[in-house]
Order: sequence, then structure tokens, then C-alpha cells
Amino acid sequence: MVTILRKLFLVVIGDRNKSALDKDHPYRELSDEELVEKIVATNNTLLFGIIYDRYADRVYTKCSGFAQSEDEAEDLTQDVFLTIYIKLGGFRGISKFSSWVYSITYNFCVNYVTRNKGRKISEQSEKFDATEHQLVGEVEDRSFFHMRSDKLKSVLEQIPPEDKTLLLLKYQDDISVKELCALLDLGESAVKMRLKRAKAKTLATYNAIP
Amino acid sequence: MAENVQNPFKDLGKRIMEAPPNLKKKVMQDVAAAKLFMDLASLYTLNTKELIASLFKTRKKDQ
Repeated sequence: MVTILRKLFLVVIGDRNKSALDKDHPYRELSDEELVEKIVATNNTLLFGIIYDRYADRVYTKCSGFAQSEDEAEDLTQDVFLTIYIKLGGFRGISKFSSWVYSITYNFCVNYVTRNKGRKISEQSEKFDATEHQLVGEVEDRSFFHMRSDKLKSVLEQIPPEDKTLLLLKYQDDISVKELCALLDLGESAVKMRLKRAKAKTLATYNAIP
Repeated sequence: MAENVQNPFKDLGKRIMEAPPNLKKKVMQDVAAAKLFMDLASLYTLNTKELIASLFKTRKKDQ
């Protein structure tokens, strides 16, 4: 009981102690993976502040890619970091910590976007169903990379969020297929097929835009 | 022939937005609350994994 009261007290005064970790704390030099180990072992929430400082801007940018407004992006980022903290014990180090953070971010955003039932139904009855059963042709990275980034931005808003996630993880965050398998809990061939389909959809949507 | 094509996905990711400064406070409050709840929950639940592991642990007292 005494320890709980002490912890409660620490939680209350936590904010005032934060400055102690602000500038040149030795833990600031640690790698992400080492920090995570320390956080899991000591349960020190202040150390999580360092993780937040390292990833806040990138997670916020990724969330704003899925959100309609700044407030929505802020709420998403807040929830993503809470999810990261709760799942921290489950990080096994199979992939890089940054990849793990990004995959949680994208998963959370995709779940948030597809939560809307009406949107889910309308998406499932979309024209993409017709292309799903066709043989997917191989899209070479070279022709894929010739797309204009401004046009690509609007294409990414039109394709299903799951495909958008996969493409961003692969081509923006440079996560290898092997890492993707571990992160998405899928086999290598499944990941490759999903990537192939996502690329085909992207290219088809891109070409349809005048 | 060397490939010199620019990846458009990288262009999209170039513009990194700055997270709002008040967000850190909110996140840290959330995390502190989550930690408190997890600690409280651990008081009333049984950690089977650790319990079984401790059963198989042999400890020499005189060392």
C-alpha cells in the first residue's frame, strides 16, 4: 500500500521532475532499443518522454496524413503514443524500433479511418472489387517512381488505407519485406502479393487522374 | 545504366510537421495514468507466467 501511495505521489509530482531529463541526461545518448529495455525494466515513465521527443514530429506527420484536421491529428498522435507505451513490453527487437513505431501508427490510423461503418460499406462495394479478381500485372519500381508527388498524394487518399499503409512503410520508411512480414505477422509471399496489388491499384488510380 | 529516379514517396515524407508543444504534456499524463492503472491491476491479478517460472527457480540461500 505504501509503495502505491508513493507511486501516486510520484505521478502527481512527475511534471516537476521532468526538467531533470531535459538537456544532457545520460539516457539521452542511449539507442531506442536500449531505452525501451530500460523503460520495461524500471517502468520509468519519464524515460518514455525521450522516446516521445524522438518520434513526436514523425508520428504527428504520419497521423496528419490520415486525419481531416489538425485537432484530429493531435488526438490520433496522443492515442498512438499511449498504445506504444502499453505495448512496449511486447517489443521483441525483431525489427527496428522505428519500424515498429511506424507500423503501430499506421495500424492505429487505419483502424480509426475504417471505424466509420458507412465508409467501410461504401469502400467494400467500390469499383476495386472488379480489379481484385483480375490477374495483377507486375509493376516495376521504375515506372512506379516516375509518378509526380503532388498527384501521388491525392492517389494515396483514394486507395484503401491498408494499401496506403503498406506502400508508405515500404517506400517512405524503407522497411524491408522481411521486416514487414514480422510487423504484419504475414508470410513473405503474402506481403509481396499485397504490395503488388497495392502498386497496381495505385498506378491504375494515378493513370485515371487527368 | 545507373538508376537516377527520385522516389516520390520520399518527397511526400520530406515535409515533417512539428507536433504541437502542449501535446507532450497530454501524452505524459496519459502514460502516467496508464502506468497507475497497470500497477493497480497487477495488485489484484495473478501473474501466472512469473508464478510458474518462480516455481522452477532454485535459489541457493547460503551464497
